[in-house]
Amino acid sequence: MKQIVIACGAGLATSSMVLDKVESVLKQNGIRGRLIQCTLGQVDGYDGTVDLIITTMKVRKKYQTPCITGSAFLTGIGEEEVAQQIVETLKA
Amino acid sequence: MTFQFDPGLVQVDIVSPTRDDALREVARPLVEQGCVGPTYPDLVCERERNYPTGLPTRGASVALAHADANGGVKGNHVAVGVLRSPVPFANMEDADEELPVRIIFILAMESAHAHLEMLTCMMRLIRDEELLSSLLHLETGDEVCHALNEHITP
Repeated sequence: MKQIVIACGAGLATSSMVLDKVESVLKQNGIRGRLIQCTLGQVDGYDGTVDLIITTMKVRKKYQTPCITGSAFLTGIGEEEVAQQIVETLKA
Repeated sequence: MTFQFDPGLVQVDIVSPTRDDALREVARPLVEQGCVGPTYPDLVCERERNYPTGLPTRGASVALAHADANGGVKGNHVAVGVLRSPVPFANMEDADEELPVRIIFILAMESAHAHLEMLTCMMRLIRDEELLSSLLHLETGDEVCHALNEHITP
């Protein structure tokens, strides 16, 4: 089971939208995962213990856990590439 | 949620030198029509500074501004403003990047649930490159409102 953190500013709105998309990406690729939704401020607490961090905005901070910006799921621009990146990171 | 844009909240040809001016101008009818409390525009500007909402699209760049809870919101409303010339907004994806925003949406939703539904709906609208580009050439708020309502899908 892969543990994936999905974070946005308030941990409510945009992360919910990205979460729906990530859920379907996992399903399509036969990856079992647990999705954890939180605020950007809470990400630190999960760093190093989860398999992937997806944020709705670019973060300057360097995390131990691989981190992907998931805003493409909001705008639709580059969505395929980000989905691919998520799958590759989780299957690595 | 069945939502329709209200022509009374849609403005075109807005000339604003700065982001805050543009946001206040787009938010003005929300206050005037009692959809939100008088502090709402300030709360929107403040949130925009902390959590930018500029988004690149394949058409014109947009901003999906809103305030966090409170601000005296009554009912569910979206104010729309088409700007005469682009105003720089920070990119939601990367706050250090500036986007030339031409269309501003200000959400004023009564509940978190309605807000999320509206955001989902807005994300579908802003993926429509043709729609966004066409909005820039319309001459009245009524026309913009009509075009948006034609493309809205529940």
